[in-house]
Amino acid sequence: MGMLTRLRVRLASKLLPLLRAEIWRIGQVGLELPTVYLDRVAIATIAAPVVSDDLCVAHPELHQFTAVLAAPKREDLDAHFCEVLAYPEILEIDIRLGRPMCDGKAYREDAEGGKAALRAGQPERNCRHGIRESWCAICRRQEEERKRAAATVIDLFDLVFPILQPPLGDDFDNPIAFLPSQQLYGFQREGVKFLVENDRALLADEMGLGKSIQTIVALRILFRTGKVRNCLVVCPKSVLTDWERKFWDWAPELNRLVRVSGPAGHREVLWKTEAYVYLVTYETLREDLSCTVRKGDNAEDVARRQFDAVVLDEIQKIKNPSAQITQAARTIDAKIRWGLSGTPMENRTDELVSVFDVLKPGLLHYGDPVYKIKNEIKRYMRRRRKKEALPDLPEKVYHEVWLELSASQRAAYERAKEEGVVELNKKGDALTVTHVLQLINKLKQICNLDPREEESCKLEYLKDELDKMSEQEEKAIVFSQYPEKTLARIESDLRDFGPMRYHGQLSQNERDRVVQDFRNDGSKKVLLMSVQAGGTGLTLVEANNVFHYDLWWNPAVAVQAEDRTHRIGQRKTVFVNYLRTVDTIEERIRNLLAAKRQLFDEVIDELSDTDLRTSLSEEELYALLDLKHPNRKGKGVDRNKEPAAFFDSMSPTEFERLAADLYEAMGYHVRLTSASKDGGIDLYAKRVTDTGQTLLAVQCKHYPARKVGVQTARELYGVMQTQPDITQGVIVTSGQFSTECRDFSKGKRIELVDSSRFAGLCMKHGVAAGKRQKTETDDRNRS
Amino acid sequence: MHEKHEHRNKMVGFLHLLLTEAKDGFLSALLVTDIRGIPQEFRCTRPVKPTAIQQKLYGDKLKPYIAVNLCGVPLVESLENSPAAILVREKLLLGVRPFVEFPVIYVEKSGEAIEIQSVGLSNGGLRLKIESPGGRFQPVSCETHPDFHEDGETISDVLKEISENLDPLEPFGRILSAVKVIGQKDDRFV
Repeated sequence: MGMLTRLRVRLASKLLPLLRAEIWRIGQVGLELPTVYLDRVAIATIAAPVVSDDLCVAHPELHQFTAVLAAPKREDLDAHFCEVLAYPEILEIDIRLGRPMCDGKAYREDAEGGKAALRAGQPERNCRHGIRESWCAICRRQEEERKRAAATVIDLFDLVFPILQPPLGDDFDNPIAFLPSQQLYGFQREGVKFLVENDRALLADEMGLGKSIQTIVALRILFRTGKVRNCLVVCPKSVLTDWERKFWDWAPELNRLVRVSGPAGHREVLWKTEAYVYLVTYETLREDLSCTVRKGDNAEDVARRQFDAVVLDEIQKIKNPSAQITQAARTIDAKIRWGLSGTPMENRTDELVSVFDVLKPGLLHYGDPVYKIKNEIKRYMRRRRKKEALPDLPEKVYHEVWLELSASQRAAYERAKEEGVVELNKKGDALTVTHVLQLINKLKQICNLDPREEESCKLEYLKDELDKMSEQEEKAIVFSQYPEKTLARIESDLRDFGPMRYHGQLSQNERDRVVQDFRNDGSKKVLLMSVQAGGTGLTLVEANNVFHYDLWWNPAVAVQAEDRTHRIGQRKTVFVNYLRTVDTIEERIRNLLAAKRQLFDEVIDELSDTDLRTSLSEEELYALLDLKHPNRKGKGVDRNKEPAAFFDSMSPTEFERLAADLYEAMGYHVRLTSASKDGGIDLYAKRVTDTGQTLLAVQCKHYPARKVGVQTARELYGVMQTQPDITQGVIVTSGQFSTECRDFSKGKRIELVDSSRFAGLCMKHGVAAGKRQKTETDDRNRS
Repeated sequence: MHEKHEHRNKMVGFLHLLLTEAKDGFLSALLVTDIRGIPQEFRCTRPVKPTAIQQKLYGDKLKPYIAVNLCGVPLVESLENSPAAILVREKLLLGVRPFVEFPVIYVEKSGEAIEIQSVGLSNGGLRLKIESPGGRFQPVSCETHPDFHEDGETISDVLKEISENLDPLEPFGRILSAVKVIGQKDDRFV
């Protein structure tokens, strides 16, 4: 008995790691022993399990008997163990991998016609103007406006769009990167590489060697490598449109291009529009940075000043260090700065110092000796002369220059077009191709020169080019089909260049004298020539610059003209410049002819001597002026009626409604005023674009039998003074305007729309009377 | 299905799996171009950065899972354009094929392949060699998903047409550059 009382029963020899907590309960002890009782319960405690880095449960560190309990009652054991045992905390570890967000963009531009379709050689549809979609200037302009309206922000995926483009090729020879007609000469490829490799550079090639094209291709590379996200191009006004056009041709993926021009309010919006490229003139830049330039002005600068790259075309314009345009150029902050100029230094080395003060501040100093200047600028400047580039250059270099009509030219052009179309439509079935060609001729003449104001965008460009050429001691010939209406009228403006005119009215002796003087007299820099009088035998190799002032129907005529200079005896490359105006009949014809010519080149000789007027169908000719073929019935205004007669049958209210319909068709939101009139205004027409808001205040004067007098214009002007948000006043009449009314309205933002013009606009936009009745009530309620 | 692809507007997709700059995750991008290589659409995922535990638990399955299920398939599904084929530079991206309707083809430079057999059926899919007309670009070897050998026949003409204008491997470099710039501009893509 004494021995049993001291018996110890060992229940376990060791504890093993358990996957889960377990409670062992001692059940009945099968011992036939008298009076067995629990003496003590010792609970082994172990450390809580720890999840190690390799997801294994570590062996507990402690293994000790720490708790000795008094003998509990059997039925309390479970509860007792629950209280004292430390359960490990179970961690919840989420091991799922979540799906990431996807971002991105579909780029549609190239896929939907445009240059890409031309490059792919895919057949392209005709637009509603009867011209291939990619060639139609009106469709393109509308598309650009639509894109610009949608593109107020460049997002991340727009930013990488240039980077995602295919490579240009090691030698810029990737056929899909450039159009087939676009080839870079060897010296140009070298020029592009020079620009790409130099953040600060002056490209000083002689004029005509393609500085702007080299710059655009270099920019294309920088955009594609992500080094540049935006760029400012500053240039003279005469080449603004040409730059825009060249970007379109040579870098189509840089399709967010903003031309900063127009009224100050518009420019402020344009500077804030996100774009790859900003185009601006020196004068506009100076104005929009006027605060910084003038110093002390409390107004804020309108222009932005921070860009990744800035290009200054004709950089010699900032040769004067104290000029405001120079100061404005200096404020631009860009890590890449390129200057372009055929004549970076005209008179003194200080001019070069001023130029480099913008390109590379601190490189040169005023008063530096010539040898030092030469040495310092060597690595930043590249200059090739035509004779050096000659091995690469062909005998003839063609250059198409695109210009924007001046304001007065545009007004004259639109007026002539609308009135002309009305007249043509009146002819009905008697309309012939000859009538159409007559109007086309008239419009082409206006593209050359506004007959009333004598303004000409082509003349401005020509003067700039002649200026550069005369510094290089070169001569030019200017060809036009209109010796009296164009050449005679521009002659006096070119007097600084000793112009001579060669035309059919001259006697043979006079013609010979003109030719001799032009050949031998160095002060005679330009010859104005009518091709009809030029003859086929004339040799004028003294000139190596040719300007085609207007568009030829027959390509062979242009070639014949150029061949006055391009023949035996010519030692220089001949540079042929075609002067064109955007958004005019010239652009439409040119595009149509280019499309036709492309077809000819595939089938017939390149020098096919075919007058393409005969190869254009009647429908195509009519489509140039948005005319319907006489056999087709049109909608809207009855063409057979005189415009005034058409309006005769209308009541004043119907006339107002027609005007409202017209402005709605032109994209305006229109509000007719109440019957009691709103200061004499019959309707307000509002249009919001990315450049701002346009609000027109329109007075409708249904006066088929009399003229609208000056009093009406005065009243309208008075209302405009009290409502500064009115952008322009318009007076629409079913009759005509008095001379006093026209004179008063000039320069006062008042547009006069007479019966012919109104009828023409209605026809153009397919607006007919009687459409508006059901909306009139709503509009009147809103007014 | 083959006819459907023939009539489709000819576009090609390039699907790429990329390491993040810190090498702590993956992201994927998909560029769709026309057969001349001009971009039509670009899609990109945000990075997937697995934790240490996830890396352990997924083990070898991690990269394929991220590449195919998390990035590849959603990217293809997000496309607005329908490419004739999608080219990939990692074989594991062939795993996208069973989940999408477009042929998915692995491409590599001829000569990179370690298999002795350069054309015909391999242990995986159908292998093809595509020569660039005129030798303009280096020839490429292509491989289909093992269960979709017919993809090779379907798109061999498309691949030949691509090779006239475009090195089929070149767009992957553009994707890399674009993703880099995106990462510089937006932290969410780092």
